[in-house]
Amino acid sequence: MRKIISLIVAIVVVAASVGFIAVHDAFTPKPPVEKLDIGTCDYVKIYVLEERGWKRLKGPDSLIGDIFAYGGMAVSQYKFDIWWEDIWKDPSRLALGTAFACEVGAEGKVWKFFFGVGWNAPHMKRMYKLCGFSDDLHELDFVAICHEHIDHFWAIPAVLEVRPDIPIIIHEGFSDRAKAWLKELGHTGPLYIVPFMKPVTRKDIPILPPGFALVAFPGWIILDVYGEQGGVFNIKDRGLVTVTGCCHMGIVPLMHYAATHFKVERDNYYGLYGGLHIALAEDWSPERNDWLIYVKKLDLEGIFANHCTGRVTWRKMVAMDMPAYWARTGHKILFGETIKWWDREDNLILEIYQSEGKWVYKAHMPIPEPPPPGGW
Amino acid sequence: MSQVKMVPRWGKATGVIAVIYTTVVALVIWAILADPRGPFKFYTPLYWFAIANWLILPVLWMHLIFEDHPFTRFGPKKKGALMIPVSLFISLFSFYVFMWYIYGFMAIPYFSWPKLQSMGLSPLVARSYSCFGNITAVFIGLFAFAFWPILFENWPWKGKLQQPSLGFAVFSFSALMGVFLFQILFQPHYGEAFPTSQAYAIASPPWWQSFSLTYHGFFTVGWFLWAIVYLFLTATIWEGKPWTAVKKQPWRGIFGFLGIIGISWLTMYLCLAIMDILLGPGIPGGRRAAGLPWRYLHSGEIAAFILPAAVYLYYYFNNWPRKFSPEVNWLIRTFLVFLFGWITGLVYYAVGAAALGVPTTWDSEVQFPIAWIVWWLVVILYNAWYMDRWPAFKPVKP
Repeated sequence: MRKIISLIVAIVVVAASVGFIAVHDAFTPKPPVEKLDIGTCDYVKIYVLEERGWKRLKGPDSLIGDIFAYGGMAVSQYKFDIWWEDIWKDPSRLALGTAFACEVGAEGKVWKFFFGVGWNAPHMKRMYKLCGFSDDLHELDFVAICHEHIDHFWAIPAVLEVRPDIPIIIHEGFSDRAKAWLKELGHTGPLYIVPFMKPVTRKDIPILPPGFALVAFPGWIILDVYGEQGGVFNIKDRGLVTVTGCCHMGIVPLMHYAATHFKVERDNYYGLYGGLHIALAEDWSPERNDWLIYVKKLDLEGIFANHCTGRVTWRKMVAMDMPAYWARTGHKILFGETIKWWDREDNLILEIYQSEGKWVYKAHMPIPEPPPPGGW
Repeated sequence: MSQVKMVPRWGKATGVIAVIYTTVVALVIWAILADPRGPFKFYTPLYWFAIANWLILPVLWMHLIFEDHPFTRFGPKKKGALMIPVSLFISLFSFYVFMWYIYGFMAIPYFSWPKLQSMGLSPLVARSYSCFGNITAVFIGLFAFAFWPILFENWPWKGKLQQPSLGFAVFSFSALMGVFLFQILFQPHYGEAFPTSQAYAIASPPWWQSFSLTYHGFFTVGWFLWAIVYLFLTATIWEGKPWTAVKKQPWRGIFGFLGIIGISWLTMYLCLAIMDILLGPGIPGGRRAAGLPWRYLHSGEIAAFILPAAVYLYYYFNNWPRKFSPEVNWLIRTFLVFLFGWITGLVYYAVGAAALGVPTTWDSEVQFPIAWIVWWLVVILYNAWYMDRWPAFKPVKP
């Protein structure tokens, strides 16, 4: 009798488990039905202030070499005293930086801001100027820092030296140490903090342009840094464009979040710019195949990746017939009615435009390939 | 197994004291060797994970397969003093000599840090690849070297062969099974693990991709760790049930093998469903907590949290309770180890950053609680199996 009861109990438990698995979707949280209207902008023009991050990826005096020597990816970036010293050295031992500027046109006005500021301050000052910004950076409306990693944040003295009053937008994952450092550097402007998973627009931070939202994702990332925020633009009549420093949250989750939470023009994924954090070390892993499969499904018109995306990723995206390009330091990309890509000397490289309902890719010169990792 | 009879030294407090001293020993050695804030920083995280995994596999070989031969005649202190160094030597030889310089150099580079580095990978990347290779190999080993003694009860050699012949027979057969299991369950992952796909010569593209929606071998981790856990629950708190419902070998073993695979898949999909409810639906192509590989990995991690509770309950708390019917005892013990496994997980994430130096959050890319769990189990099993639970238990004269 005991055996029969045991058998019945086992069958019930298995059946209940299978049933629960079958119907669990009914209990999963759903995105809000009412999507957030962030407005639209006419265009965003990206200036690639610097994308290389560091001078060398592998070998002695390199990023990977330093991480290996200091104990690996779980060690705090603030333990790397040689990296800290590299903020001010000119020329630097290793540091360059990762930063871009956005020029946004909407409602007849223009906004300009940096998204990340780089790592080596003297080098970044030169790069700001090379990309057309003035010595005193007076044209900047604000600076947004995507995350706290060395190459995106540590050149902030280069900005505060000339604009101590500039508004800075970070997210709630920034460490107390980072916030204290801003004060030590004499920052007098407002410090806005974006909460995780609550997109902010100009309704929350009035200095933001229309058609733009910042979305911060939580999560501990390598070198004891927490969270990253990405930028989302809603381009008039064209659709969604994301900009990211490293995209530790993943480009598919960012696009998915934006598409399920914001009203997007034509419900279209239009383009992306920035680091995608797929193969920083030029290595590979099987789940990255998943990522690329789903990036391709987004059917973007223009993918302008660089930095931690990895050359190996770029090559795979090209092989998968995606419109993937490597935006090098000094390049400019316009996402507007059309997509345009210029090199450092303002020569037009590529134009992407719609003709008779189809997207046309017109190259005006040979498509440049990525520089070697850490190469000039 | 040991010929010495052991009894609790401190009455009802014995089990609790054993939990405390084994945990303290594990914590102290972790602080010295593994903690990213400590002198050696082996928790990178995969380097220490691989070392800990290799420390545990010879414990199965020496205790489960060779049944402590030839150390059974010794008392717990002497037995521990002899078996622990031998076990350590086998672990370190297997990892640093066999996997790095023999098997890795001559057959499969992703098992060998120096081989991968010599082929042009940076030390950091080469170490990560090779450590993950070794971790997955040991995962397979933990099942392959245990399922024959536990489920098939060493059929057909039991009673016909003595140690060490019995051990060599089981070891050889288990190793063969392990190779097949690895090739089916993890080798496809490695075919896609490098910038150039190696699908033609090395491994079939992952056969699970079409329904798991990921190429990553974490899919295998997601259910296979449950299989390891259910196997060891069978050997400990379940006392062979429910597979003993079948009376004869090899049918009992076959029933247990297929049953464990079945409930492991079921449990993994239950975990995924619960994660969907708590975290939102997993996003194909997503990463970290939003991504499917992370969710499969964490199904396996939930499984791992169960094991220390089961081992403690069985060896240090006399497999409590025993006073009810076998079925009720079975249910209560199962409930208890799942409950304490859950509590272990809560404690790990609450104090792990402070106590172990691991990341502060549960969804970090370098958060691998299995590394701690396996290391903790190494210390527990060294004490329980090699030292016959001394000093918590003391020998008595027959």
